[in-house]
Amino acid sequence: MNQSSSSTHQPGNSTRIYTNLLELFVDFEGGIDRILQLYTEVMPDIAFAGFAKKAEGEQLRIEHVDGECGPSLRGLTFSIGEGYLGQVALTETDTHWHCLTHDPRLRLFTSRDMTPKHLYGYSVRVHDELIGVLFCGSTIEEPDHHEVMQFGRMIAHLWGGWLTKQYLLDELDLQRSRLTILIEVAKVLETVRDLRRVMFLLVDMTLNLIPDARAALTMVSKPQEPGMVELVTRGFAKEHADGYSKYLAHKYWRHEQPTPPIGEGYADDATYLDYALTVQGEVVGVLGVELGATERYPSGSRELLATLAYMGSAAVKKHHSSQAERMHKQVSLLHELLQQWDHSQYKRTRDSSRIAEEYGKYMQWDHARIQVVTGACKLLEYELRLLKEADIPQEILRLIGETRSMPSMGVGDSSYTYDAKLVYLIARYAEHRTLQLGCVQSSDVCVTDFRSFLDYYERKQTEIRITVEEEQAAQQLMSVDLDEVSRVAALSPREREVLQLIAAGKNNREIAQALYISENTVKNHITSIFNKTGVSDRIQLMAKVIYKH
Amino acid sequence: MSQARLLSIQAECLLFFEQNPYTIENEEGLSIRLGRSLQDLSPVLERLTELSILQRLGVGHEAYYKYNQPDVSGEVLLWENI
Repeated sequence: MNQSSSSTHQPGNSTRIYTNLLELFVDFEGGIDRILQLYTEVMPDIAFAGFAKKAEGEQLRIEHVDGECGPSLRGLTFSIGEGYLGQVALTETDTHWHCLTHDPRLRLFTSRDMTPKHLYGYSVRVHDELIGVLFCGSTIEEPDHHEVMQFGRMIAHLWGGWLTKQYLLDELDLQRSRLTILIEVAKVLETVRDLRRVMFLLVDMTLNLIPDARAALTMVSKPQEPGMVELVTRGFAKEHADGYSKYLAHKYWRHEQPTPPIGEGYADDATYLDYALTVQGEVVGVLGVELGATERYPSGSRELLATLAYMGSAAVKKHHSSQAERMHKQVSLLHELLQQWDHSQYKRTRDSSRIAEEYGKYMQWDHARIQVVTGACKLLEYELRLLKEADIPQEILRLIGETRSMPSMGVGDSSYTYDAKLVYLIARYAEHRTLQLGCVQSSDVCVTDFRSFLDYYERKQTEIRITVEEEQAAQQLMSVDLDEVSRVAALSPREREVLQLIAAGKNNREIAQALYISENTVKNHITSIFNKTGVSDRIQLMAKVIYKH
Repeated sequence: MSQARLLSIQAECLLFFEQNPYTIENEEGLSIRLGRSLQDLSPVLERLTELSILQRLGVGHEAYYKYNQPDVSGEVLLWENI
């Protein structure tokens, strides 16, 4: 037995045959059976031709055969590396063997009473991956090896190319479908207001879109409640979901490197893929999926999960903002109601909330925290029972409850939260305009922060007061001077109005808009003012107003 | 049916049930509502049932389908338990 790899090239000897073959691949009518038929027709030296398709695992199965003795081979299987054909699959090299005698590697054929003298094998690849072996055999002594080899190789390459094209077209179609689905999901998420429905959609679409997905999970953290999440799962056993969610919490909120979620409660044959939901760089949730056992993630799965996570992030952000807005409206409404029956309480709580807002900005807190503290300041005088009925958020209720339970010297007690101490301090300060003695001496962090804030706040208030007073004084002075100039120059009431606006720094167009007259009329008034006061421009006019000469 | 087509109809069916979570419908009804053939819908319903997204009530072509809400664990405290 001799073996040789056909690396030499000889031009084909029949243009007609190759043209027929190429035509077959234009529409692929008749499929591989028609191609094998052509192979045996145009190559009289060939007794049979067939195709063994790669099946599950390392097996190949002969699915198509042509030639007189061919049909008996159909359905036979062999492993990669087994026998001659198995060797082609293993090396993925086009090969032929000639002058074959009884050889155990021919068992596939001898088991069907076939004894080919020459055997040819070609690997067929799609997208650089072996999908099967094309083979043919001759029973005559001396077939034209070059012709058979060239023709077989051409068929294998053309067929591989055709299948690659089909694969790419299918892939394109699949990507288009995925894109269309993602657009539809984005549209729905845009309209959904309920957070749970957002989470349902994320979980279900993850299962729908990610290839080989078996179970999915999403969790979203609750603002102002560290460690607390809403958890929605599908396809997980309860203990499995608990374990996986804790693993994700470690990974995304604690930024730790947790043990992979494999072990108790987890399927041994599973792999996991997860992606964070973020709002302005902060993790607000996670989307996770369990896949079947795989060495590498299915094509596109990472990108699809990332896209769903980004969409989820946008929906969560929208939900959080609308919830905060709703909360703010509800709190403001209740606070306004206070004005109806106790104006002094209203005024005090209004001052408290303003101080709380200033404090939050001074400390560079996030908007959500500022809203909770200002909300607690506004509603501190209300009955908790009433606030619960009014559906005020838990964070505010908890803060009010804690503040109320604080004894008069409780600010130094470490069992109370920072925010509760702050609301207490602000309320006392708004009432007495000073810190109580115990607070002045306390070394508690909140008290220290508040004291340093008060230094800043009181200084700022003084500056604002001085600025306002100065401005009022300047306006009063200017008004007196304008009156004096108007009286001396005998200006008409309209000219006096124009003079006031000139003094306020308005130009002609602005004066025209303010008085509902045309710019030409303004010019006429200004000319008249100049004539009556004896000046030639605005600068002289202002100098006259200020220096009275 | 190609994978792309299957995926597309599956998403369509899923969005329909997501937006109408209290609907109970059989294959024929769904075929009319979604404008899809029974042949197209059958594998889709099979797959969605397999994923527990839909719940099948009854057997064969007479079976009715309803949306199966995912498991919700309301508020879970995760970080203290770590």
